[in-house]
Amino acid sequence: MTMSRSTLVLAVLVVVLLAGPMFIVVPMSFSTAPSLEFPPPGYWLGYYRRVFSDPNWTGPIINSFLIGLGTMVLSMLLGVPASFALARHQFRLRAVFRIIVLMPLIVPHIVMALGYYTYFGSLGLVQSMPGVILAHACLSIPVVVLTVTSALANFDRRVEQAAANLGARPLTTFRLITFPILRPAFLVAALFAFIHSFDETVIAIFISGRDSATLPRQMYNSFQMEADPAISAASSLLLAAVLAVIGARWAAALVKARSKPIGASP
Amino acid sequence: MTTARSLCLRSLSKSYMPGQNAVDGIDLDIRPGEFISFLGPSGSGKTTTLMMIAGFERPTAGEISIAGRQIDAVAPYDRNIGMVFQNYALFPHMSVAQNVGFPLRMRRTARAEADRKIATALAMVGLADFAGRAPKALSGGQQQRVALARALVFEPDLVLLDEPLGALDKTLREQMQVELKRIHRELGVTMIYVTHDQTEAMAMSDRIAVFNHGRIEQVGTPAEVYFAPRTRFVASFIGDSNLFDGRTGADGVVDLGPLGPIATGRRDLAPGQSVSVLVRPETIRISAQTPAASDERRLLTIEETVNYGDSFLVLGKSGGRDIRIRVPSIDMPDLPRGAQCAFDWTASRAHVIGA
Repeated sequence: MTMSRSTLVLAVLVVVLLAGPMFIVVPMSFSTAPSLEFPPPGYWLGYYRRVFSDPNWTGPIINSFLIGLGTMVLSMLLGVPASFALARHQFRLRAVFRIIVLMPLIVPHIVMALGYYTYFGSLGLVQSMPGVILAHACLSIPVVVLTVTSALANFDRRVEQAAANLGARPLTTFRLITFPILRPAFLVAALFAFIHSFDETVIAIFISGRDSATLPRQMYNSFQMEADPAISAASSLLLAAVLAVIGARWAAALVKARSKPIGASP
Repeated sequence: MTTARSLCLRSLSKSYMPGQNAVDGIDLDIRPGEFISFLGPSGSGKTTTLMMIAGFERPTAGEISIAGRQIDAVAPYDRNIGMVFQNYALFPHMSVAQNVGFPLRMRRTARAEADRKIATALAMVGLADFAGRAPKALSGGQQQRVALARALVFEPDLVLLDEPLGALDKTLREQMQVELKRIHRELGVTMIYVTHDQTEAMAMSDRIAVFNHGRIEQVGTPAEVYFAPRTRFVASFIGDSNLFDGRTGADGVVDLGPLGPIATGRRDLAPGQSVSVLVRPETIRISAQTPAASDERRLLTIEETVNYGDSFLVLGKSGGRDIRIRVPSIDMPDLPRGAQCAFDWTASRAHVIGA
């Protein structure tokens, strides 16, 4: 397959537009300048030290991890069964159910944030970690459902029938056959759920309070008040986290392709 | 290795849509140790019937019993029936030995005994050296052998095979047919073999059940369904055939119209009925000699000859009817297209269908 010249130009343009900011933000995070400045006059690691020692930054980093993990667990607990229902069972209003589950992908975050703000306000969930986790799970469930249903669509159910035929009860079949085969898809879904929460900003600004502020919210606040170059260090860390997730997926695929089943006898 | 038990199907029906039966009232008794094929075109209900026996489809009506025990309410995992799937359905995340050992693991067989049985089963299908491999690292034929070993290792009452050789190429398929027959002979286990390939069914089966539109049209030995089909469908589905419409006369003679009378020897037929007469292409002989004037009705005009190597298929017309003749290559006269020749059939091999 050869690429025409115009396609190549377009591809380069897209890469520059998408990846361009990385090449500014990452060098800036190592900058010695007291404010955001490009190109950096010199390099040091001072802002990383600040991000990892100043409670104004470490608090939100820990919050973001906790909220991300909570979101991941909650979206998997709800999203995986929903995926099995959507992919494998016929029931009334299935199409409607699917649209409702996927809705958060289409509804603008600002609209959802406003809704959560008023609704959670009356429930006393605003400015609390459970509130942010609930809101983020709503955003992450569609990602989980899309990932898992597409894996289920490619899953050959005759393998499950074979297990049943050979004497495995339904739960045993799930534990020994379905789950191990779908494990990579579950892993990808969980990581995406996590990263979706980890870099979510709009809802976090609206409903995460001082005590449960996430990293993106703290970056936004800090940027508004002082243009602290530590933001660029935090951004770089956020970027590194996202790249790590994508890298992990790629590495997992690589390992899977090379490995053979472990152990020869049952 | 196995004490095979007989399977009974009683007025078994399956309907997915009201008024349309995928399987429509099947009655069948399968003998212990028998190799029986379910043969039919796709959509004829043979696989649905198999799935009901395995327990993956619930019958709409009728019952299934093994050795007198009704199993309709028994879950698939409690039926003790082995099954070989068309696409193998091996567990991709387990080794060959783990795949074969799976049914033993489900039955909590002791480790040492399980290892011994796995080794025996793998040796039986000629894969003793492949225990530690991943299924993906095996060829299609080898994967099918693993599936077979897995379906046999726990000594099931019955083994179901759903077009197990469908994905293999011709040479491998024939090799596996011979091997499957050997295993069947050695174990004496009852096997039900679903296929749409009539030569495969002919070559392997003790009996063949011919399926069409959700019903069994005929159950019989390969020779019975081939030489004495009960319906036109069976006659045309199994083997190559000439089917002529005719009307019965006296003393078992059937008048085939422009093709003249044929003395079928069926003296039980009442005169004046519409029947079909099956004449297998290989029971017709041709000779290059121009027929005598009195023989005009048995004059064949050659339209096409197809060389299969071991034999020729001669397509011709006589009295306006299409005739198919199978001639062994060594007996094949030189007949160009458009040539005329005489032909003759063995009337005693002709078979009358439907009175």
